[in-house]
Amino acid sequence: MDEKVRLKGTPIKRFDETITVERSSTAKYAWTAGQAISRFLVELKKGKLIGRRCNKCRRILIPPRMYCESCFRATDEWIYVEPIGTVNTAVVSYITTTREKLEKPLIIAVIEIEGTGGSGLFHYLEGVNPEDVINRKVFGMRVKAVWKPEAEREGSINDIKYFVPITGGEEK
Amino acid sequence: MSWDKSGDPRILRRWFGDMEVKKHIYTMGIAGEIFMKNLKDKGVITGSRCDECEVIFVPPRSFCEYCFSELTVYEELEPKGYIETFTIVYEDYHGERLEKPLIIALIALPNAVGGIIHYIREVEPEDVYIDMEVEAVLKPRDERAGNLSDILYFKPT
Amino acid sequence: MKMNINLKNRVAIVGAGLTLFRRRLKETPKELAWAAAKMALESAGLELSDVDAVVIGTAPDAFDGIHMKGEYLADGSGGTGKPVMRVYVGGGTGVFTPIAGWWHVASGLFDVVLAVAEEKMSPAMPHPQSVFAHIWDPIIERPIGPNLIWIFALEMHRYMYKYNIKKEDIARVSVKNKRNALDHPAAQLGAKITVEDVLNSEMLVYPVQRLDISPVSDGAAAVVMVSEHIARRITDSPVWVEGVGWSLDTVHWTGRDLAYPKYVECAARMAYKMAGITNPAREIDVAEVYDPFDYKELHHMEGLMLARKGEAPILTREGITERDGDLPINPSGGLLGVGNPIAAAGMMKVTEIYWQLRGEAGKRQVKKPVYTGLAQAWGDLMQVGTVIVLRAG
Repeated sequence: MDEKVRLKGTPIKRFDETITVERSSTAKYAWTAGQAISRFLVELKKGKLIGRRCNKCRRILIPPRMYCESCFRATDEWIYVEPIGTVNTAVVSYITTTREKLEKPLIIAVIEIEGTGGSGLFHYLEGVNPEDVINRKVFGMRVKAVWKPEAEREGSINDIKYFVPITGGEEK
Repeated sequence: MSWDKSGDPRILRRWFGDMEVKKHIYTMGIAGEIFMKNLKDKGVITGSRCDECEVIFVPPRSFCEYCFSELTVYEELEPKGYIETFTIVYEDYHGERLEKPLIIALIALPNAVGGIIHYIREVEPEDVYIDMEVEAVLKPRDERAGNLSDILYFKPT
Repeated sequence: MKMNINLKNRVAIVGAGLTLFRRRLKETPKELAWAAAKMALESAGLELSDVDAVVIGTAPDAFDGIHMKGEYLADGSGGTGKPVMRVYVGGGTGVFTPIAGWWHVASGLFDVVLAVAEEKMSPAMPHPQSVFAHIWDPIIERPIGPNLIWIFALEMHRYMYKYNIKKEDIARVSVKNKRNALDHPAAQLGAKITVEDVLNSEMLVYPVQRLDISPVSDGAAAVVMVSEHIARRITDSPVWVEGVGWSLDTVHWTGRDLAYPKYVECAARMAYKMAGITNPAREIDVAEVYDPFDYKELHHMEGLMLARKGEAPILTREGITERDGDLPINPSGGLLGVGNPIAAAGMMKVTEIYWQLRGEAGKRQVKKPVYTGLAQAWGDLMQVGTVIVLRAG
């Protein structure tokens, strides 16, 4: 097919150029969190990060699963981990979920949780500037979770407000 | 291995959410646009003819699904037909008893493939029968918007 | 050495069809499917009555806004009264559709199969982006409010960090593909732009800018796949399906190596083994790799082992991936230039390789003689790879 072929298709700029019908979708869902994620959410509410250990590959799975997808066996035990990790990758978002402009850019990162053997959490990063992301200073940076006040926690991934850099000499 | 299974509803969580798509806007397409325009402007039902397969599709289609030809011949038909099949609805979406039962029918047009699903009114449920001849009752011309609600219902001829 | 598998039929592609790719088309999804399928059948010199079975590829129902989209599309895809199946592996669907068509014929079950891919993204309001919101885990990831661009930006940035890649080297892909698309009759976004235009375009999610991304589109594409004895009868230049491969990685993407698409490598290895390809960088003459974002072309070239890890940007900078280069990549203009109606976009890549191998690509025809080509798509939560290797007959 060369460049001169005329293909079918009737482009329209706006929907009001043709006759249309509109329907709204109102599907609402209640997702069961299951054994592993339920416990994970309950522990988040307490301000704790918990994973499941697979004694075969020795990974700690976060978010936890009752099975290890690599070894294809049931995981063995619950284990608390420090909500500390290193930044695997990070970006600066200038737009919202629905693509509207953000007033203050948002930094989002994948944080590899320390001691888990590769489990990552997808979350917000605060306390760094967009420039630190752009000049790649944040890669490998050690960060820790900042929790919401206990009264405001509801058993959600957002009970962690965000992650912030661990400054020099700080233990936790 | 320990499964640590808990069936305790105080521990097992649910998470609520929805499909965020606010709405869908559907175009009528090439054939659909002609059908709706003719219904709005002329108060007729439009079909498209496949000479190869000797059929008329109602509502019209821009291609024949049997021989895959492009269909470009549109025919304007009287908004009349007969009841191919019908059902009587006694409850609404929520299971509440309707004040007056609703008759829903597939109205076929002579020699056409397909038909129109619509309400049957001006007749009692016990008097409806298959093959009954019916005609469309349309909204006044200036209230028609180019959709299937331009037909209010069908009634016995 | 070719893989020793026992196939009933060797499979050829003998016809291809496309619609325009545009932000909004008036046609219904099934009218689009029909237009592409009809063109594919006509180009093969076949009729609908010759078709034994139909494979339909289309991505989430929520774009077109019709559940059971496969069934909805069946009549427009030529499926009335025939064995029909729909396949769906996210963005990988467009190449997976002819893969499924291949096994329909290779197995000996059917001689003539119509493989049709369609996507109409424009109905989803306020923006098709809201449909993408449902690909994440609803409990752990959606509450963070992810935008699809976020996760690609995260992957892109990791790739740039690991191999110390400059943004301008990635932007070159967008420049090349949009320019190539100027010669594609279906193209939505063919344009002459510069690296500076990309680097100055609106920053969406650093490092992703507006001109790094393919558009939202409506469109359809189709191919006709037949067994060897039919192919020999109806054409002098069949394009053989020599290898197919597909692979899915874990959905737990935050624990994966984001700098390298392992799932593409797994799919490619399967396809290469079947096709007897041991040195893909030398043996593949032309490739259509999946490029919804410009960095993805580079990422996928490396996963396909057409470039060493971290070196695809160098090949691009040196002009090797241009139409007149040693390894032309996306001569069609790709998703960045032609458009991205998800499933149809992947299938468009297969149609381009088909035309390239037959020498029918007109102004898009790559300069060097081409004998073996490849099309690849990718999708789901950055986890599926689908690969097809084609060879001129």
